[in-house]
Amino acid sequence: MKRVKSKVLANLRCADDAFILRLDVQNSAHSAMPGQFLMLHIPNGRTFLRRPFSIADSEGGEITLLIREVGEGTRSLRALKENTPLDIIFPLGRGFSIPHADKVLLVAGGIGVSPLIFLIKFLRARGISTTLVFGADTARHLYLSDHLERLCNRTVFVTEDASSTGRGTAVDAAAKLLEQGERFDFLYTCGPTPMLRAVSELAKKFHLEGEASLESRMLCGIGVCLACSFKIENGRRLKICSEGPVLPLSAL
Amino acid sequence: MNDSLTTEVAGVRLKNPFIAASGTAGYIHDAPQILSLPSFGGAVTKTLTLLPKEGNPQPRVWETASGILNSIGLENCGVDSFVKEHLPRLRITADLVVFVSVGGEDPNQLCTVLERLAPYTQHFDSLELNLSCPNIKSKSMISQSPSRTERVVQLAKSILPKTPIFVKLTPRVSDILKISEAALEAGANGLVLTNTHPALALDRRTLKPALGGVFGGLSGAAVKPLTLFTVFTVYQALRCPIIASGGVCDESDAIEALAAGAAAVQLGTANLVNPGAIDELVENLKRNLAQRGFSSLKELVGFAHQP
Ligand SMILES: Cc1cc2nc3c(=O)[nH]c(=O)nc-3n(C[C@H](O)[C@H](O)[C@H](O)COP(=O)(O)OP(=O)(O)OC[C@H]3O[C@@H](n4cnc5c(N)ncnc54)[C@H](O)[C@@H]3O)c2cc1C
Ligand SMILES: Cc1cc2nc3c(=O)[nH]c(=O)nc-3n(C[C@H](O)[C@H](O)[C@H](O)COP(=O)(O)O)c2cc1C
Repeated sequence: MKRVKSKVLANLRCADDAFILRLDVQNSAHSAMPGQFLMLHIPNGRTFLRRPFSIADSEGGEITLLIREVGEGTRSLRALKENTPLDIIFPLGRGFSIPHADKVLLVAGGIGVSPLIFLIKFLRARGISTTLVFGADTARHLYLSDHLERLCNRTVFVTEDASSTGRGTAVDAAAKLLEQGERFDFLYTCGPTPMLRAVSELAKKFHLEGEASLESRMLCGIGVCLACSFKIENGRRLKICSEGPVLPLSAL
Repeated sequence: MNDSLTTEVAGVRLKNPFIAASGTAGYIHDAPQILSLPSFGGAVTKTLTLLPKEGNPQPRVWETASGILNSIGLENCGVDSFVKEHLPRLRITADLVVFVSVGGEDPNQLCTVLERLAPYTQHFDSLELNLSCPNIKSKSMISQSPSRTERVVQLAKSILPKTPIFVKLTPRVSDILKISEAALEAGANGLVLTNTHPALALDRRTLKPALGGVFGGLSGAAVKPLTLFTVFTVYQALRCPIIASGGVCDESDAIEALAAGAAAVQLGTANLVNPGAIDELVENLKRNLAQRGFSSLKELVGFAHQP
């Protein structure tokens, strides 16, 4: 965890409501693990609270973010020009664990796919077979689907409006795979919290272990302010920013 | 050493005037390195209550123009677990002054907390009595009533007679001088002015309260002029030891708060948004003082009141 002076290498639109931000982190000796995130100060002179973003890729002194425009901060980020200096704190949080597994299932909802992209690359490099079930409201929001199709051993895309191959939610599609008797050694998921809870139920039903990356409104991102405190299954409270964002599915 | 930056407030000596505010430094020993707590003059623990508190529902923070609203709701581990897990570890360096913050809605419970701490006063230097947390459900804060403030401070003083006690007040009162006087007459060694300002944010889309706890406390740059007002007013009338809290984000803000009458300043929101900025602040403060021709920080305290 370090404050790093970074700069924008590229800012590319990848969907009607999302873009890719590539940042230079040459000065940072740290290397990030899948599931970790950064806190970014947005240089627009108005929003002064840092915003959390998952690391969607990290390689050779560069990190890549996949960002959905939802408010003032993310809209300002979309407008950043190449070479703009950025003040970031990274890497933060506890990332995904990499189990001894042959075959894993990944369930993504919307922008929740972001940390899974880096994870899939990581798993693939270790010879682990990846099946991604990715759900969105509409086909335009199946971010980077071509890239993901190449990266994964298998992909299942579903949308709520059936504008892609299948209609339904990521949870429905994952349930279908498991009900058909397909076996996996581990499950990873990221998306809205209600979806994560549903995936956790599903995993329990099929005796599948796994991990979820959680979202929360954060303030400091470094584990001191308790803005993102979250009650886990056994009643204990965790700070999502420092003890997460990745938690065992059984904690939900 | 930055000797020119040493300051003293109610007999408590700090190597520089910056104190990490309650709620923004965890339990001190568990704060991440990036906060650079050893570079501060002092640090305050998260406010402690008798029983563990879960805090308020999410969301607990909301950004506003140049400020933030928080409604953490005093989430803390309770005094018993604090005494076991945190109290013996508070002294992370020899020269960081340790303040333990104690709060709660009920004076009896608050005194029980102090009684549990009383056998261990070697582990901390000073007590910050938080009589002003806006994020709890009771109808009023203790520091909104001069008589309740007086009673609680008297009790605290009798339980911890040798520990310097700073009373942290709410700005939400009609007469801050009455409350300040009540606290000082009851034996408070100094005042922390002030806690956050009770405030409300609405979600623009739904037009419903944005925070899970409905109301929050406003802090950050937005409140600096309000802090200056309170510090100036109280110093002018009472010339008492004051720690300013609210809106101090950089060394210039600190200088203004000191000139208004504070002998030290707390950094809260600034810690959370720019962790580690303290190292730069200390250097900048030293340079800024020299440029203004002050040879020590003490000359600056109350400067705004000089003719
Ligand atoms: C660990 C973590 C990783 C994240 N990774 C990514 C990522 O890879 N890509 C991405 O696009 N987003 C990610 N987010 C969400 C992202 O932080 C928010 O979308 C962003 O802070 C919104 O900023 P804004 O100024 O545009 O919106 P604001 O103006 O602050 O808010 C606009 C809207 O966004 C919602 N919002 C604000 N903050 C959050 C939040 N923390 N979580 C969910 N909704 C929020 C608000 O409820 C509001 O409706 C992540 C969040 C966390 C906690
Ligand atoms: C996230 C957060 C948590 C806080 N928790 C406490 C607390 O537990 N006890 C307390 O006395 N003050 C608490 N405060 C108030 C701060 O200690 C400080 O008085 C206030 O934020 C004003 O200073 P600032 O503008 O520098 O932030 C909290 C403030 C924030 C932002």
